[in-house]
Amino acid sequence: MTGLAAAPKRLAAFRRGLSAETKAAWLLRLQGWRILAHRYAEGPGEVDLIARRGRTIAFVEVKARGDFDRGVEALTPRQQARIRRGAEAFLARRPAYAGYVVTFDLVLVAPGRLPRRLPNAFGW
Amino acid sequence: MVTWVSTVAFEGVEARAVDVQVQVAPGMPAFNVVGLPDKAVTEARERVRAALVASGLALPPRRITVNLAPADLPKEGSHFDLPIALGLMAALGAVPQDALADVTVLGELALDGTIAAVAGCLPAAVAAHARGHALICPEACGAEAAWASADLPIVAPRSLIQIANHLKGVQVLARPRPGLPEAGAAAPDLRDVRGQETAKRALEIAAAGGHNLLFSGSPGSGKSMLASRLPGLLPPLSPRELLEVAMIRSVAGELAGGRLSDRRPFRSPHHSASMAALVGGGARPRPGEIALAHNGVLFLDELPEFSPQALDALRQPLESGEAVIARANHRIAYPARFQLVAAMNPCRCGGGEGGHACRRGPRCAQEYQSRISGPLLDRIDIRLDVPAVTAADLMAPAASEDSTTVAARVAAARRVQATRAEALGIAGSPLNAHVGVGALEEIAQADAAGRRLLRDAADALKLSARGYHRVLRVARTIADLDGAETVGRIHLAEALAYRSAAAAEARAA
Repeated sequence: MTGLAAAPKRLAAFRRGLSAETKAAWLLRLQGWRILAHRYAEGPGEVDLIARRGRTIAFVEVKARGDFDRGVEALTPRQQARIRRGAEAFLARRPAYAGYVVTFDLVLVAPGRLPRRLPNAFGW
Repeated sequence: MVTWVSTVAFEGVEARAVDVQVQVAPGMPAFNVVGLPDKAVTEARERVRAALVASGLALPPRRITVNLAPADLPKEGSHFDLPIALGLMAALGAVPQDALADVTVLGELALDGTIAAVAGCLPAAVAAHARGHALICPEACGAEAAWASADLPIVAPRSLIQIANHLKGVQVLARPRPGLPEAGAAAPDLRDVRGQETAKRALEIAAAGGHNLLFSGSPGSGKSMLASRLPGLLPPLSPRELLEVAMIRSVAGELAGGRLSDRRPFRSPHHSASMAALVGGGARPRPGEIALAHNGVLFLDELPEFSPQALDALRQPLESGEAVIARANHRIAYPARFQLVAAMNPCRCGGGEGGHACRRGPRCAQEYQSRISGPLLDRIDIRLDVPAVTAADLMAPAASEDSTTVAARVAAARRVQATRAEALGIAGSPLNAHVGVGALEEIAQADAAGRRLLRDAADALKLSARGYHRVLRVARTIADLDGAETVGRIHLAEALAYRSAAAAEARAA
């Protein structure tokens, strides 16, 4: 019976994540970025936000935790690989972005603080 | 955009030119090193990234490709860090690009951006000078590199920030000074050896002609003591030899502080040494003990205790004067013209009289001595039995001759050989032990009595062709010490005595 409805705990986490991503998107917009995709998923890859500013395209992972430090720690190598795969899939389908500089950013969301963007945080 | 930086890769003591090409392009962020790098070179990536961050430069989110050309030459060692970092900084505009034209760069980076010492700075400096390049090397190696040439511009920075400031002209670094020659401790003196007059004479002959020498005697008779006196008898290295020795030591990473010494090398590896340790080699070829003994003395104490394989590997270098290490993908030759001095006991129990007398009979000595192969023994010109020292010898007053007196005679004999070789136009080493067979017949003309003796002795002792020539060589050296023009009967007789003692032993065995 529990198989059909998601567990209440996971549902809450999902909602918290969605609201964090909305906050992150607004932070990026305020900094002059244009959001190209939200929750982009393609095969094995998955990216929270994809944004563009000038000749730069940013693949952004959003982390909502109790404080910023735990947000940084929450980014696992496996997740980084997944985001990288997502970015590759995204760029492969859009040759127009071929000459763009690609960065992988992290946006941290924590209660009681303004969201913070860490440019070029991972992806090597 | 591609930036170019020159560096070197080492093949033996040769420094081959290598170009580091750094390309920074837009695209997926990546940092790749290509061009047959080994593990230490691939890891340069992490060190360069950390060092740049520590110097206040973040790596941009670009696709960075580093190519080490020529791409088919295997690159090993950690000295590629600095050229990669400087190429990257030039590509990012942190240092002017034209400042890196005609500069050879080598150095290892620490994570905090300081530049650590690397092996082989002297050959790299020589190669840079030959190409008309300037040199950028670690501060710790500056004193060593400065020896290459007085007019080679050298910059020896301590950190990445220092070199960036130097290249931008903000803070210019001075040229490092050559390291002071090493005075070293005084060599042990021949005067300390009591008795053993025959052995001292043999040592003098070996020093004068560069002959190989084997002392055989019971424990405590002073074989090792005698052998350690040999470097004190040899003349100092000539500037050319000094450079050869320094290049090998630099590649081996043994030239700390850039201090050169004109003392001849004296290497005495332990008898557990493997073949690779003696001759050089391993997965990453390094000069072995015989290369480090180039232009000097290789002393093998307890000769039969060395593994037969390691000893027989010495046969070819003893003849050719170089150690050639061949691998499937490269071939390296280290110069290895050394003088072999060996010491051994007659048998495992010690042999000789008194407390060390052998209780197991002649078989013991036979078995022990047969561990040294005939071909190796054939290459040893002077073989000598060193008798035990008596109490009377020890109580006698110290010998009047010290090392300086003997060294003067040795130097005189070597001068005679050098002028003769020059007159005859002999290329290469002028020492009697090294001249070619053709030239030897010319310089070591025996008189009629000498020829007769030599013919009889060669038949009686069953001398090999090599043995025959080796006797001639030693006789020539004895004549040189005597100041004689031609090789006389007496000289040949003494030379034969040094060979026949061991030959008689070998026959008995």
